[in-house]
Amino acid sequence: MQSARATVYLDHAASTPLDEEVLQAMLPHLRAEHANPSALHAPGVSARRALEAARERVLAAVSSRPGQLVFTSGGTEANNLAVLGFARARPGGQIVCSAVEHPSVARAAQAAAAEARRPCARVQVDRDGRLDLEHLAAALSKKTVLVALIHGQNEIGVLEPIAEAAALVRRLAPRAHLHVDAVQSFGKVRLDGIAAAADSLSLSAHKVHGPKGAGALVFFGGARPGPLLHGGGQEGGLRSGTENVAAIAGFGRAAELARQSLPEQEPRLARLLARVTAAFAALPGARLLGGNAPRLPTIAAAVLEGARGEILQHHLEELGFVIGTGSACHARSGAISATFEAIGLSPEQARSVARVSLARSTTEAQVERFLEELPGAVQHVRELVR
Amino acid sequence: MNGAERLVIVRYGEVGLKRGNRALFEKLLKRRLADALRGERHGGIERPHGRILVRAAADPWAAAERAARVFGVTSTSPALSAPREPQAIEAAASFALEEALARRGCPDGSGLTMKVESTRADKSFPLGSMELSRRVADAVLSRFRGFGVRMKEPDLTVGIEVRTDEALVFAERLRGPGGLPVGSLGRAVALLSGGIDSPVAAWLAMKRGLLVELLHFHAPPFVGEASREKALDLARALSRYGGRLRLWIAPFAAVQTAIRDGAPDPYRTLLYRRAMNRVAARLADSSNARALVTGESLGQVASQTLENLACIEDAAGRMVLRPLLTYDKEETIALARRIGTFEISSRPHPDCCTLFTPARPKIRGRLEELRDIEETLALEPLLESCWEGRELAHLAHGELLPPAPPGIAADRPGSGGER
Repeated sequence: MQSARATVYLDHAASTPLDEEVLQAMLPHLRAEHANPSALHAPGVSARRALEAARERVLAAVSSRPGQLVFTSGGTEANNLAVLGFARARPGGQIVCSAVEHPSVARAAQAAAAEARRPCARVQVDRDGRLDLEHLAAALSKKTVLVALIHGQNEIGVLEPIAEAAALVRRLAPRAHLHVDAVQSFGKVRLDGIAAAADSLSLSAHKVHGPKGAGALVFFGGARPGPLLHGGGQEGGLRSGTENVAAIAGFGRAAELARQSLPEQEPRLARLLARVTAAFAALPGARLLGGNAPRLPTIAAAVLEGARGEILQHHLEELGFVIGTGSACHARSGAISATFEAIGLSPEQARSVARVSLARSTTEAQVERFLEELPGAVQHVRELVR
Repeated sequence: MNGAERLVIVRYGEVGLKRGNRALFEKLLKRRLADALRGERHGGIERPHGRILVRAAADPWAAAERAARVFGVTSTSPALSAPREPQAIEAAASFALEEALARRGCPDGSGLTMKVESTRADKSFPLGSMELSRRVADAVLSRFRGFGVRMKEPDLTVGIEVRTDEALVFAERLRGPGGLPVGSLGRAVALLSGGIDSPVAAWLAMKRGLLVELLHFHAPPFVGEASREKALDLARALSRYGGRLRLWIAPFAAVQTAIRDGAPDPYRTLLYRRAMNRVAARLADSSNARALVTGESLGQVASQTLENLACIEDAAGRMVLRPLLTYDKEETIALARRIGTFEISSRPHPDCCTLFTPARPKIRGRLEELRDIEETLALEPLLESCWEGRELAHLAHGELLPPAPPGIAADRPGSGGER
């Protein structure tokens, strides 16, 4: 049943393919250069040098604002380190995050609130998933110690108004640390403005054609998070454990490639994505998530009434296309993702979300082929499910 | 004990009780053991009276653990073969105890109790059993000073079996699953969903000597690759106990949608199950299986009533075995955890059993009604293509085997698992 042509992968928000150049940057560290970067002998120093080079490359890819960078095992750990680490450093007070955070922020915020018996406010979003700034202003106070906001939303694709939110935080919650989850937006849009406004940013390598198992927390100014992992004191004592040198070296190269290709890729991907959003919008019974709000050039999602996301996914797979469902719903529990709930989707609508996500490796021909098949596939699934 | 031969003693219970075809059972058990020990280095499997010995085992503990997973085996012991001299037996006993204690993390035996038990198959041995036990106990106790002696249910028993040409010495018994060697009682088709119950039911059937042909219904595009993988992983887990296993995967979506579209809602579940049994019956025919095995449990869900089970069984046209019929869910879960299928079953991927389930399923189905509905559905061609669309996977000892070379008709009776 598989199409004779190669499968078209359109689920890059979940993970991207490893760039060949990234692989090449990793290989020496998986082969001969195996030394521990904490060791004082020459091979150790060489590993340390690779680590520091990667750190500079990733920092440079974020912005020109001088910052510190801690390598982590990925975006989830970076978000946990930011939320738990900065909240613990400021006892008491209150935590604020949005209703459309990734679980690694939302659940870490709940944990940080629970362990210090402090409240955690969730700021509402509008129908498009954009932060309700009035509601944010109402939630902030002098007691607020931590605000965590997502930049590019992973399930919907909208870009949150971080600069405006940051201005509110500075004015109404001067004590607060502002953490921004930039896992999806890093390498896809310029982050200079975000980096200028935030106190910390979380990143992940495998969303930008790097390997899984590497991520980073970048932070600015004097504040340091409390460590989650205790041990040998690596990463300036903020993240003990021997560094994943190969993955980090790959992350460095991936970040560099993302930075170099951004000026060309961002408009190209935005154009391709506009064709996807237009196609979604043209389908009968479809609601494009995020509407006309500013969005990442890489993620488009829509509710396709009557076409269960999971079944559409499997059917498209038979036709040679891999997409995301965007629904983190558990078939058994029937629970839907907090994000979909926040933008007012019913459980049935949430189960009918299809998500298409692009990356540097996506070609125009692939998107065209996909768009040719999409209407028929949706129709077919609607008939199957009825 | 440099140079002493290491071996594994394998004990079996019921297999030895079957008069008449006992030799057959023992032979089959030996074969299952040989299968289970593939990859372990050893010097051959012997079958002296009432025992099986795995000779010259390179890693007797690993081999004993593997053998202890084979149905029919009640217990296994890593052992040493010593010359028939009291001093050599004492030394072997010390060594065996040392290993057993090291594994328990208690090198000197502190806080533990032990006894020594000897048997003599060869009465020409100069010492009596009691005398030999006492001598060995003295020697061992002078070395492991933490031990207490206890005749009734001690923590460890040093066993000595004096045979005509050697003495076997061991200090640990690993419990086996009991039951009967897989295949000794013939074949059955076990329906395998992605749930918790069906793999446990299949395991219990295997335990009682049935070679099971596993049958899973896959429903693309309603469920995806992850569900197929789940069924494969469950089959892999079961194959750790059963030597070789075959998993058949049949495409069921067309049958299911036809029922959904053509039958009144409340009857859907019963009709799905009857259709599954019809396909299972074909597999049973083609593989010489006398029965079906299902994970059904009385009253577990509202629809599992006697009336409904009868309606479902009717479509099987043969015996339906339900090992879990009287199990509570907790009991099934406990067993699923023990045999290593629970974690796999708990993955959140749906299977076709959870598709299009009616809001109010019929609690007491009536056969005539079901037959009437089926007549209007014309399922036969769909069942035929479900059967024709089946795929086969071979599994052995926890591994998925590469597909059989082309030209071998895999589903001919007797050509597969019964080796």
